[in-house]
Amino acid sequence: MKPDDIVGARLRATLLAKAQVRSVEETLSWLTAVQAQDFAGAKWALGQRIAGTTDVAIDDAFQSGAVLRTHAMRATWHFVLPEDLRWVLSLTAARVIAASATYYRQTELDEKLFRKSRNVFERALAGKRYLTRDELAGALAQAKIRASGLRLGLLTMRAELDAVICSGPRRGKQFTYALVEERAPKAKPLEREEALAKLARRYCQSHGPALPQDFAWWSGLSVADAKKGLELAVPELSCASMNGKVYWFVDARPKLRLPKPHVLLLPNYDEYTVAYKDRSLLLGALPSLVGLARQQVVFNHVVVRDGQVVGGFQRHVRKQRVELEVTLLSSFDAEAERALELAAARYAAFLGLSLDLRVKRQELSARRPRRRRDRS
Amino acid sequence: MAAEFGRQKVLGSSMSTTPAALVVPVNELNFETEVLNASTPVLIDVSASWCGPCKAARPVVAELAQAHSGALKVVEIDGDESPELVARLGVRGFPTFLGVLGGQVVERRAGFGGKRPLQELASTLLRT
Repeated sequence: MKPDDIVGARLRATLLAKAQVRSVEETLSWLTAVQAQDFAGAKWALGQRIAGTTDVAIDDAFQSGAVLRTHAMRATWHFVLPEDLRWVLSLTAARVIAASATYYRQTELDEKLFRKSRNVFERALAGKRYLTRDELAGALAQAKIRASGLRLGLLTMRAELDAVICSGPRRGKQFTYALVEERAPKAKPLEREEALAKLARRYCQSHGPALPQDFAWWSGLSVADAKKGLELAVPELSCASMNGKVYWFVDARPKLRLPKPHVLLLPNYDEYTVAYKDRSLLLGALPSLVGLARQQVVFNHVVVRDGQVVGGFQRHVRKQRVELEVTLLSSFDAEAERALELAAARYAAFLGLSLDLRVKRQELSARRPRRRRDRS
Repeated sequence: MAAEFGRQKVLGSSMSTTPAALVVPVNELNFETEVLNASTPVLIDVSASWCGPCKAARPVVAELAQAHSGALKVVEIDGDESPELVARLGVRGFPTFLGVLGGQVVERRAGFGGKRPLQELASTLLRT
């Protein structure tokens, strides 16, 4: 395989080759989890992959509970389907909990307190009472559990990791919590090996070709468990090699033809950019970006052309319009500019707003930025 | 030396009867003779030594070679040894299974998929 083959296959696997008519549930089921700490960005991540959908439609799916938001992977929020919540958490939660041990110690949280707070959450949320984080803090306070700031965040996150609570519908702009057993009653755990194989197959179908280390990064599993998952899913997977590395994927046909130029405006943490440990294949068009800047570029809203990150954008949502300020870090010809305008128009249509698009070009410095010396 | 001799002896006695021995290695040089000019349908297993799914498929491929010996020719192409041939066959990943009849690729399956899909592929070739 060549880099272009991998990039093209990933665009197809992540459903970005072409937005198609498919439901939110189908889209999320394919991807399994979509990083969602930026709620608006995550909605566009789903919407981008679904022809003709709108921000309101994704909101509706979230409000109804068809889509849930919880700490499914890597100690951050993800959209997941209710039926996937328990078996995914059965694989991913333990390592997030282990990685949080220092914070637990710092905030004087222990297993006894987690059990006590779990009982508080269950009583407070029972009967489909959807409560905000502050309201949960009130319930904890009544049970004489100190809960504010980081401590409160850790308590709610732990209850999410234990599959006790997850997202409820939003109340205005405020997020609420709900009980998993009420919000996702059909969520079933799987035997560990079955879950490992399922997660590996899902990752390879929706993100491949990818390395075992990519799968480990995305899922938060250890590399050993990620490899075990791939082995368990072996009958359903294919392999290809590049530069001595073995990439795993589900070789699905027919092969969707990619238009050229193919321009996307991807939100921060989009699965196409964030779901790999090795992101070098996406950054080939930015050779002058080095070090941390190179790694972190994918945590911003990015412009992607033919699978390569070539710039970034900022969004400002006003009452009637969305302002998109695009910064291009590589040259665009007229055809690519047209494709960019179409991508921006799609985003505005998704939001149901008129578009105010501003594009600027920026040359990147080839030099590594100097580190400031601390003189204090 | 004695151990080496002994090993050769074991290999020599089993090679002629193991199902794996019925899978014909094919490369750029013998592709035309072994595949395009074959008098029977041909099942091609395009694989690579480093590929996990290929290893899992190998016993099933060997079983098919034995089960349909004489009626279906089963061949294996090593993707690392014959990259141009693999590209010519439009193979993107390993394993890929191709069914060839009269020198034409008529069936294609990407990935192993387990025993049943390969049995079905063989049956289809034999029925056609």
